[in-house]
Amino acid sequence: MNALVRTTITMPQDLYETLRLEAFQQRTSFSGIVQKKLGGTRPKASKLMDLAGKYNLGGKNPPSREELYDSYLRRKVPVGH
Amino acid sequence: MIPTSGAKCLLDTNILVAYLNAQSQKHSLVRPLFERISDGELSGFISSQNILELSSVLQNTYHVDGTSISVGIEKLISELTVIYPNQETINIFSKYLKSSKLHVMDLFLMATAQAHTMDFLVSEDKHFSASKEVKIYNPFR
Repeated sequence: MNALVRTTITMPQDLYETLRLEAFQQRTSFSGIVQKKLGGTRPKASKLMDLAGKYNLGGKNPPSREELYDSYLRRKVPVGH
Repeated sequence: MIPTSGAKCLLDTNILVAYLNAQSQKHSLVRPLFERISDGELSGFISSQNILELSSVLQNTYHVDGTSISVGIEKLISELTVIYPNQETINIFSKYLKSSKLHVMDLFLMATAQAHTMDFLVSEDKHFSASKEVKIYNPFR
């Protein structure tokens, strides 16, 4: 767990009152409500790069879209049927 | 044209294969694009058509087993936004059919991209002509 730090922030009075009320209603501290709100907006760490090179498929190029569909459709819907 | 920051990019099947295939000569060329998506600089999208095509290519061309394909697809769709054909896709596709000689499956992908206001279709396909609405980015050129 990350170490906690103490800091001072400045905010409008009405926002402060809103947060203080929310903290009271949720039975948590002012720090707790701020952390909860900011934590919810923290971007999720992307795992997209985990997929890089997931497969070892050799050096063969994938088929074109024409090859991919046309050969399939020829099998499924033969000409003359 | 290289996608600028914040661009919405639909990733074509050939780009996905190059990214997933460690042995592809194009793998290193496509990595920077995915790094930009991973960093949140670009928005990455995949269409239901690409999911079908990728599954088919992995299974029939590269003989990857179904379980492994399933795991890869699930991870991809958890990291990219999936877009689906809608009524607007059909309307645009119908217009394309009257004016373009591209393969119908290419037209359908372009129509899906346009219907979802993509900025770029990232593809290696050389015959895609740039439309006014969706630009083509080929990272291998």
